[in-house]
Amino acid sequence: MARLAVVTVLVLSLEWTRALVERSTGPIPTIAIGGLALSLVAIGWRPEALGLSRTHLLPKLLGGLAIAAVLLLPAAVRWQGAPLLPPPLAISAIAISVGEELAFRGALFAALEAAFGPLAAVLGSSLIFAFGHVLSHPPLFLLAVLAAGLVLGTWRWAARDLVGPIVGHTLADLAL
Amino acid sequence: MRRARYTLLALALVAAAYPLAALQIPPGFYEGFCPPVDYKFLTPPPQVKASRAPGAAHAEFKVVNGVVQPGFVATADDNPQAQLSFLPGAFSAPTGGGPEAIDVKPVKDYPEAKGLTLVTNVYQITSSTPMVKTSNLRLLYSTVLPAPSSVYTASAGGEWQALPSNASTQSGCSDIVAQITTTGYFAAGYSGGSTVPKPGSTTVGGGQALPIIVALAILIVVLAGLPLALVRRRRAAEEAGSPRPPNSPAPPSPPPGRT
Repeated sequence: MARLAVVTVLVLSLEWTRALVERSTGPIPTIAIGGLALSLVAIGWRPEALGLSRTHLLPKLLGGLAIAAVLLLPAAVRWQGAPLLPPPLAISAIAISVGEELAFRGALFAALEAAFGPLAAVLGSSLIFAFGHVLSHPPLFLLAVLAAGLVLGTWRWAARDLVGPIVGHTLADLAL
Repeated sequence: MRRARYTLLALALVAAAYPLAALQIPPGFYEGFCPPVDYKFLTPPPQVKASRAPGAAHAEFKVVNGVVQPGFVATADDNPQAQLSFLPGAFSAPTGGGPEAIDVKPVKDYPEAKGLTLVTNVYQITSSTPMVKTSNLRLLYSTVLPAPSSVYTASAGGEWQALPSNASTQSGCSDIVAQITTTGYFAAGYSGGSTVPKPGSTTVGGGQALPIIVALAILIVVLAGLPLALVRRRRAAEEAGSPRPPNSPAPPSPPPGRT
């Protein structure tokens, strides 16, 4: 329980700090540093506990592609063209995607699952993921963030895998 | 087997729920690189069902030693839709020692934009004294309309002219910045009825690239996933049908009964 509390406070603090710092300094390099900081939350966990085993990599990568397709579907439906992400921001996008997955679907999910079971892990990690975005997203967008968290968290539970969510989240961030 | 069914059902449910939630508001999912644009139209286009009223701005700036102090004026929106920023002395000093007053407001009455498609509100910028130095105007635009190629300006009764403009490729946001030298009417748009921005003015992410990428991703998943599923099913069937290998461990024997 103590570990769960520490991880929850840590991931929320890091997400909120990133959002607040980003307002004054801009997205680069705040997002990249925020992503790296979130990745550090996963230190001390066994790779298997985080869902990072090396087995069945191909299905996991395909899963990541499927997750990306689901996440991008609404944007694709109403796509009108948008500026490409410039390389520095693309690097930041990769950093924050990996960092958020390691923190939310990795360490936080594992801590929640150990404390309360898989259902609480999926729901709890999704809710905290949405709560972590309250400072960077207007309230209306939090439902979509929560739903995205459920997609990523359900895959994490169903496949015992974090590679798919990392790939899916990263592709979605890079495309948007 | 039952667990696999529940798992697939759960995945299908969340995969179906996500687009429903994300379609409520564009762009649905984003990382927060910059705030998503919930653009407030003064006159909403047909594809926008409802829009809250856009904000305006009024600000006054001190004059120190005959120089109007630098600053910015941003419309009162959650994410300012029009923002004017300027350097010291960008406006000539008002006579009488009073402050420099600047207003930015969305307007419905403006010079006719012949041959142009404006995708943002038209903002009228007024100041108590003329602008004498170049200032920056940042306009946000909606993601539900084609991206603009330029910021256009017009004076009262005058013709609209394109200003050198840059989309915010540094931040990946839906905004466009232009350097302006006078006050007047401003809006972002593109020339004619074309939805394709001018080459070089705004980098567009491949036009219809995203739907194609998503379609390809789905295709790859289906094409690659089917053989994988077949292989797995065949392997499971073989394992179920084949006799136990000679070196495999014997099944656990029942516990010895009492004698």
